[in-house]
Amino acid sequence: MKVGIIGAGLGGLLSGAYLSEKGFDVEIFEKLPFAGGRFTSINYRGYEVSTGALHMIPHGRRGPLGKLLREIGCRVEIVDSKPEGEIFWDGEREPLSRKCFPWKDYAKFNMELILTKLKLRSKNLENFGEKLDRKTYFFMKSFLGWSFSIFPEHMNFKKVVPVYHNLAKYRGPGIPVGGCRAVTDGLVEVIQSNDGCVFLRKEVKALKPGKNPELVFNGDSRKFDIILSDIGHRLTGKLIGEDAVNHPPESRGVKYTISLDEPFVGHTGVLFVLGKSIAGMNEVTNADENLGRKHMLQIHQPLREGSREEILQGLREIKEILKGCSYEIIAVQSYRGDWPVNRIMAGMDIGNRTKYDNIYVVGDGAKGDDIEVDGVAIGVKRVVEEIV
Amino acid sequence: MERLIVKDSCVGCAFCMLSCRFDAIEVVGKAEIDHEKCTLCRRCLLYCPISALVIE
Ligand SMILES: Cc1cc2nc3c(=O)[nH]c(=O)nc-3n(C[C@H](O)[C@H](O)[C@H](O)COP(=O)(O)OP(=O)(O)OC[C@H]3O[C@@H](n4cnc5c(N)ncnc54)[C@H](O)[C@@H]3O)c2cc1C
Ligand code: SF4
Ligand code: SF4
Repeated sequence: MKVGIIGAGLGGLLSGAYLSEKGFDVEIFEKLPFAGGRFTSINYRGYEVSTGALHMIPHGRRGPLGKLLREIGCRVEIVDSKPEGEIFWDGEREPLSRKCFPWKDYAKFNMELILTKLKLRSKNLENFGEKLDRKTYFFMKSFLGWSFSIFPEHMNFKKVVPVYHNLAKYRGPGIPVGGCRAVTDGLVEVIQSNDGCVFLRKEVKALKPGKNPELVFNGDSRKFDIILSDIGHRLTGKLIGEDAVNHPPESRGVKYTISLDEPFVGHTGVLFVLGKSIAGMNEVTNADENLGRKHMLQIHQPLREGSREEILQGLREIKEILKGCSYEIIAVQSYRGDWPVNRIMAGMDIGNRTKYDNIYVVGDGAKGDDIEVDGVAIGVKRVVEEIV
Repeated sequence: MERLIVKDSCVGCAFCMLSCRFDAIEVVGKAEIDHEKCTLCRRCLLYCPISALVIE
C-alpha cells in the first residue's frame, strides 16, 4: 500500500513513522527546506529557537505522544517537569497546588463538572469564571492561554472534562532532551530506516481525489492508495479545489524567546503569569542546557486579533517583570491565519475524515480531545489504526 | 532595481529572520527588511511557510 503524506510536521511524521513500521510504503512531501513544521527548532545566535512549540509536551513521557513515540520505536528522552507549575500573582511567586485557590472554587468546579456530565448544561468558561475568585479566574485564563492559546470565552465547560481527566491521569508537562527537534528528527530517522522518504522543498500544488488519489507538484505528479494531509481541512480543500465552508477558527498567539545571564524561572516547569496579557513562561535550558548558549526563557501570549498593539503590550509586561535582570530578546514570533498556533481552536475539532474515504487529515487541524501535541497524537492514532 | 518585498499576508513567525545570514530582517508582528544589509541571496524565501516574501 502506498501512502502519500502532505507536510512533514509532527502529524505527518508521526503517521508516516507508524505506517512505515507496519510495512506501508510511505512518501512525505514538505514545502520547507526542513522537516518538523511547527515542532522543531532553528539554531539562531546560539539558541534553539523553536519554530512553534515551547519545547514542551503537555503530559510529558506518560501522555499520548510519549506512548505513541515508544510504540513507534522513536527513542527520545523526555524530562518530566518538576515542579509542574508555579504561579506569579501580584508580584509574588508560589508553587501551584490546591492551596492556591479558595475551597469554594473547587466546590463550584466539581458542581459544574457534575452538571456538565449529566448533560444538564455546558457553560462557556468566561461565564463560569465570573463566579470564581479573581485569582482562580486569572489562573484559568492563564492556563487556557498557555495550553491552548485561547481566551475563556472560546471554550465550553464540556471540552474541559476530557482535558481534566487526562491531566489527572497523565499529569503535567515534560521537555524532550534536544527540544522538539529531537522528536521530529527521531521520527524522520524511523521513516528512513524503513525505506520511507521525506522529500524537502517539494510543495504539493494540487490533490486529485479518486480511486488512486494523485499529488501534483511543479512539473510532476504521483499516485497513491491513501493520502494523509498534515495541513488542516481548509488548506486540504483548497488543494482539491473546494471551499471549506463553516471551517472553525484558528487560535493565535505570540512567543517571545529571551536569553538570560541568570535563570529566572529556575526549574523545568511552567510559571503561569496571572492577570496579564502574557499567560506563562518556561526555561527549558534547566532540562537541557544545550538548548541555549545561556539560559533561554520562552514566554507565550494568546492573541485575539494578532495585532502589533497586542504584541507591544506583551513586550511592556515582559520589561516590567524582568526589571533588574540582565536579558536580551532574541525572537518575537507571532502566529495566525494559515500559520497559526492551532489550525482549529481547541474543542472545535471536526475529526480526521474528509468526504473521500482514502483522504484523511492529521495534525493539529484534526486533533483528539487533549492538549496540543498530545491531542495531535490521539488524532494520528485514530487514523493509522483505521488504515492498518 | 530588485528588492525584497514583504506581502501583507506575513504573520510574523520570524522564520525568515532565523534563516538570514546577513542579519537583514527584524520581526515584531511583521517582517521588516533592512535593504542596506540584504544581499538578495533568497534564503529567506525558502523558509517562509506561507510564501509572504517576494523579490520584485
Ligand atoms: C507559539 C506556539 C507555541 C506552541 N507551544 C506548544 C507546546 O509547548 N506544546 C505543544 O504540545 N504544542 C505547542 N504548540 C502547538 C504545536 O506546535 C502544533 O500543534 C504542532 O506542531 C502542529 O503540527 P502539525 O503537524 O499539525 O502541523 P505543522 O507543523 O504546521 O506541519 C505542516 C507541514 O506542512 C507543510 N506544508 C504546508 N503546505 C504544504 C504543501 N502544499 N505541500 C507540502 N508541504 C506543505 C508545512 O510547511 C509544515 O511543515 C505551539 C504552537 C505555537 C505556534
Ligand atoms: S534575501 Fe538573503 S540577505 Fe536578504 S533578507 Fe533574505 S536571507 Fe537575508
Ligand atoms: S517567514 Fe514569512 S510569514 Fe514569517 S515573518 Fe518572515 S515573511 Fe512573515
